[in-house]
Amino acid sequence: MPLQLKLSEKFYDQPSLQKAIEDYRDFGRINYKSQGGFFVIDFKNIDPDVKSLIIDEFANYVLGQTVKAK
Amino acid sequence: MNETLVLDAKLYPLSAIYGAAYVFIDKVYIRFEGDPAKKIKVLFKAKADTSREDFRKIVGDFENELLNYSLRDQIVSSNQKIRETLIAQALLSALGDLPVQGNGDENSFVDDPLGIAKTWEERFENKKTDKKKKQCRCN
Repeated sequence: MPLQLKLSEKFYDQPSLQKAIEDYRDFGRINYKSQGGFFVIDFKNIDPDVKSLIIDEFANYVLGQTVKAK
Repeated sequence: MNETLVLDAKLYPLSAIYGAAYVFIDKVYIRFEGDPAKKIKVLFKAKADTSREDFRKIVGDFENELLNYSLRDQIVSSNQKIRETLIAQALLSALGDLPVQGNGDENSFVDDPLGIAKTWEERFENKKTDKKKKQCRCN
């Protein structure tokens, strides 16, 4: 079952999310779609060493990018 | 370990919440949920090596930082006009005196090398009298 993260579009912006996906591409395949006011982010083929951390670290990274962009 | 703070958007501007969160993203996992116009939920999750005490301290420090950012935000918006006026004045004074056009001599307009300051009569009167003189000689 793929790992999944939902982030509200009201707080996180799309360019920051795309930047985060690009920066995290070495850890696995990350895709997202916009659905009902949320970015639904799927993580596949994730490096087992970072599997337990990647969702929280990724969410923080997107938040950091969003704050920087504002 | 998890903790959630529910913040009233009327009391805490979103920019202040973002600012405070940015200070702590290296110490704790933070996520935002809710409605930025009404209630904002800030979800905290401890990092692997964080003790319970440290986690509570981080959340408490976040709240203090949030107050700090909110106050700063308020001061910034209340002083905006004064700040803009001061910056405008500083920029104008940095410009100094405006550059003087021409050679800088205030009386340089008195020189008229092309004769454009002469009246029509002054310019053409001499030519007319010369013509009349010539005609008189012929007759």
